[in-house]
Amino acid sequence: MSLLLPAIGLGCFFVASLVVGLRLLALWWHTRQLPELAIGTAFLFGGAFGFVPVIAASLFPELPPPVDHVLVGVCLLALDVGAGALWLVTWRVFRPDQGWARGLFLAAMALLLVSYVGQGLEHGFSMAMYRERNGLFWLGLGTRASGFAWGAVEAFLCHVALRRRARVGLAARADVYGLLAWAIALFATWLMFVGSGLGLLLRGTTASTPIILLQSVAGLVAALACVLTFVPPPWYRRWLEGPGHEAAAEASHG
Amino acid sequence: MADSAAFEAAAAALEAGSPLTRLEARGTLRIALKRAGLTSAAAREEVAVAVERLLPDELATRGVPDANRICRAIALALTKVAPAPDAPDDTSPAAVFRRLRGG
Repeated sequence: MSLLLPAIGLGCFFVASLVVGLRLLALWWHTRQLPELAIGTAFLFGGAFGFVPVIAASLFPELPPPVDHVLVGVCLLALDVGAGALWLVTWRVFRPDQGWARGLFLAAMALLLVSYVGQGLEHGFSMAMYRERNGLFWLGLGTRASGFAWGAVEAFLCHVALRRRARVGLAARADVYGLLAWAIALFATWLMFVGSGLGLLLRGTTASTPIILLQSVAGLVAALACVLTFVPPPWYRRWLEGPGHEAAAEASHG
Repeated sequence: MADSAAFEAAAAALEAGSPLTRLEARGTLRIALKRAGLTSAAAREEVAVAVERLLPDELATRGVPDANRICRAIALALTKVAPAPDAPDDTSPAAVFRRLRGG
């Protein structure tokens, strides 16, 4: 299997994160709306500049110390910024009026900060933290992964409600499946985090065949779902806007 | 989330036109709205669709006679509810993701 499988899966995820992140940030430049900024940041920083380089680096454990420290410090910061942006957008888009959601977001930000600063003080940001895996390491990994899990659950619940609305002509097919694709993208990304955690917990490394396989497949699924959510190809757009969608779309716009 | 004026009007009309108690009428209406993927904060047009498409079945299930007449009375009551003012921006998740995919 060598490096081909991770290269394909993580490569697709990297390209999708880069394309979607840049596209959404370009959109934000015109709209100045929070969701564009937050999701664009989550993809660009969390995916392209954070997760993929960290996973790639873990496949080459013998990096020289200066490269090691800079790579881990910068990538971990990018991961946390991306995860924080995702926590923010899930709260603001799906639960803007709920106090508990605001509390959850603030708690997650505090945990990410404690984890990042703590790991910097303890290890000076090096791959050693992946070998030693103290409580701060798991705190950071768990908080980042939980943000994706929460986002996936909220998007899926929204998809279920929209599917019910579509049955009585109150929602468009494009909206129903747009939210489903987003839920799948977040769930698959969460699986990549779970893969990292399981690999480190059970085998002491993420560079084992089952973990690489899981992360590569999840990366492919996440990449595809991201593309369908934010840059739908023409054939998919035609299907979303196929026969019967017009009345529902009109109803969904009130 | 507060109940909408449309929900209140529909629930009152259902209670007045059927043998259901206030609690039963509101609960039945909530179930019909939930089956339509809505909540009691739904707008007038959304409540009207749920009443037309789903409430007759819910009333029949509960043995309420003349369900269609009751639903027509509710629809009439809903026409007296002022439509929700146009929001400057639709911030629902569906609208946000529609914008993000360029729809």
